[in-house]
Amino acid sequence: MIINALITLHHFDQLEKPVATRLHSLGLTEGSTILLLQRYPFHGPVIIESNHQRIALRYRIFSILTQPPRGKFHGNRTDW
Amino acid sequence: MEIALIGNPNTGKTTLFNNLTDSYATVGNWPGVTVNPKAGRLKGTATDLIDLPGVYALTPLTKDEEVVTLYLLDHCPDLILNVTNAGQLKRNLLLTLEVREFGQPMILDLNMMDEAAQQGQHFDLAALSQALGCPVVTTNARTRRGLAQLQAQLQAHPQPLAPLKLTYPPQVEQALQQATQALTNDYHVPAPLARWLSLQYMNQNQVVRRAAAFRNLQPLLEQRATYDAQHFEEQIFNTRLAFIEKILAHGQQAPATRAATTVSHRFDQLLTGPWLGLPCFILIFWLIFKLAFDWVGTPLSDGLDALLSGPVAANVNHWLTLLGALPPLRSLVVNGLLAGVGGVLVFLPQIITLFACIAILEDSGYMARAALVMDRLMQIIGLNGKAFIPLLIGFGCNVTGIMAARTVEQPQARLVTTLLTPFMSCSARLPVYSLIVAAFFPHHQAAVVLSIYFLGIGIALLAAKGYQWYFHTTESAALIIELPNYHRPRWDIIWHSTWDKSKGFLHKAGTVIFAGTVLIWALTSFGPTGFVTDPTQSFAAGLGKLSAPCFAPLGFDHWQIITALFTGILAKEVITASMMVMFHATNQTVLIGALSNYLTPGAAYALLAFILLYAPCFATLGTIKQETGSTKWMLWSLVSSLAIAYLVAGLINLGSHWL
Amino acid sequence: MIVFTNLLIIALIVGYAGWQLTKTFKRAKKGKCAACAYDCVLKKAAASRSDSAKI
Repeated sequence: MIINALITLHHFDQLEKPVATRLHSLGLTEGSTILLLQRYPFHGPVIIESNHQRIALRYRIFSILTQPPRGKFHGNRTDW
Repeated sequence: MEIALIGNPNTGKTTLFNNLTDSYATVGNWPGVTVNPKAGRLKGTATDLIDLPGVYALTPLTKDEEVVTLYLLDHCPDLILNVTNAGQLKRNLLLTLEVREFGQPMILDLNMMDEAAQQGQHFDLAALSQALGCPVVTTNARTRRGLAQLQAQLQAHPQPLAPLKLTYPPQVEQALQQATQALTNDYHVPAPLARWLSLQYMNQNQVVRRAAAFRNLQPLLEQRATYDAQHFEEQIFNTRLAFIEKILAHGQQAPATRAATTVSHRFDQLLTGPWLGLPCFILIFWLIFKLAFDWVGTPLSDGLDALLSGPVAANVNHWLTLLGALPPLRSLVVNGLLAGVGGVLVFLPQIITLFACIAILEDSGYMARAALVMDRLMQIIGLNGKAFIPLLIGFGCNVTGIMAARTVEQPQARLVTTLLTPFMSCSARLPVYSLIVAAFFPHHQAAVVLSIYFLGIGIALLAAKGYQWYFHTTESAALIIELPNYHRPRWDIIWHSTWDKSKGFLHKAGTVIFAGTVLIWALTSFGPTGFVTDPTQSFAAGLGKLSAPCFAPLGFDHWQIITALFTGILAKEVITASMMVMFHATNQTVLIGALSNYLTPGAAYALLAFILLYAPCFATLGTIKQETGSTKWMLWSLVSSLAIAYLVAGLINLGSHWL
Repeated sequence: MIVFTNLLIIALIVGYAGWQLTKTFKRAKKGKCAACAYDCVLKKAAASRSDSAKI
């Protein structure tokens, strides 16, 4: 995924409960559109922007939220 | 009367609190500055204002968040001031709804209006006030705009408000009504509170669930499985979100600008860039130590030292002799208090510089970035970057660092962070570092101290790896952290924070350092034979010599140094005071000269490492016990850090022989 | 007389130091730092969390 791309978030139900709760309280919900601002080497955290706020996420959370619709996901993404 | 400040993290509650009260509380630009509630007096009134930790919701995920829910239940404040970040009103209102449902009188404050205006957002305040059923005010706490009106509102007698009643999906409503009725009839809970409790119970609020279990509220306990199976919490969230979207659709205009174009973002591209992030972090700390040791701190403290040990000591001695003070009293005042307490106090400039730099980091918004930059490293050891913030706070004082660990979500990660914090080099250790580097590494003072700080971080990371192995934690500590906009540091805030912490240091000088100095003076002046003039015959020498063989492998086996290390457990500053007293040093130069005769540079570095790691001070041990709730962990912290310090210092000393 | 005054002053200083030492121990037991003068009722409420909710 490229920097400055607009991405829609899905699959909140695949996250651990507290993680999903925290994302919800930051205003990120199923179907929210975010802007990818920055990513770090070695699958480090990802900075996204939503509603004028910048939020840093673990890569793992980000990859779950942005994976393609179920069935097409093969686990190991290499396109970062 | 009691007014509580409730709001999301980093919405400026504490800045508001400081402006509205006469007291002062620490302000910072990162989520989690306030981990303890703070109380103050509203200016010119008898009203108490309580500053609570920031929370995203009343459903707590962290220990500091629990405080807010507990507070609401326990204290039921007369008025709640809900502080929100106007720039992110949508998500802030989620908490507002929960508080309005609670039903106590409330004022909604849209703070940070400047950020909202920059984003091109406008609000229809009247519509907002009507939809939420409470007064709405706007402020900008940092520039003090709107504060006069807010103050007037707070002083007026609070109007009772009916609790906000959202219409939840039929299933939820039905369950709510049943539970509310049962609670009011069988347990005599007032109806509005009963509804709120049931709602929070369904929403999986752990504090409310514990309270319900404690009070044995059967109507809720029986239905728990049903609530959870039907995902009531999701339905509740969706209803609230829909409500917020509806009321904001009236007033808010969709903003067109993007945050990515702001100054903050440009700063971030440099300071948190993918490759530059870590080097920038190290550079910032190098600059801090350069300021503290080379550019500002040391020159000033040298001046102070010259004044204190020269004219002041001579005059005091002279006057004491004139007034008829006998040698023991003169020795206590001049060689004990003046050398010891004074010897620590002269380091005030270095400590102030360090505190000021930390205050600038806190106020500017860099802390959250440090968490981000460190996250990848922290991931390796099973923690997340957010756990790094308490560690950074630990650079000021380990006790506050451990308190800040309350913001860490997972209990296990919180425990590990608590145990790691003592490896962070607190400001109390600065004076003794300063002496040792001046004696052995005069041309690389900042670099050597920086290396000690990073040695502390390195050891903490290694220890965390050990804990990860011990607890069998897999990688799960997920990082989610807001990156607030950078602020231009406000000098009065920096000054306040610096002064507040420096006052702590001065307070310690008058209490624990004073006591430690007198203790060590007594130990040095008395021996098995009574009052001794030759310190080598004293108790202090006996104690040091007895344990000297243990320290021989580390390269330092002089009784003065060893006894000083023992006293360091009182407070780390006492090490410096003790050395001054035991070496009979009238000023720093004498002590520096004495030290450089006794040690090799390798042994001196081993000593630095040992002082960094060897044992948390009493206050830190007490805090560990309190925060972990176990004596076992406190003792473990003491024993493990001693062992680690011994090992590391031994290795350094050994290594220095090979070089 | 001079000896007495001297001893008295020494005793006062040592007594104050001893008192401060015991205070340090007591504060540390509560988990507080000598530098932190702030005393807070709510902290205790948070500490005894299990039985605190008034319903």
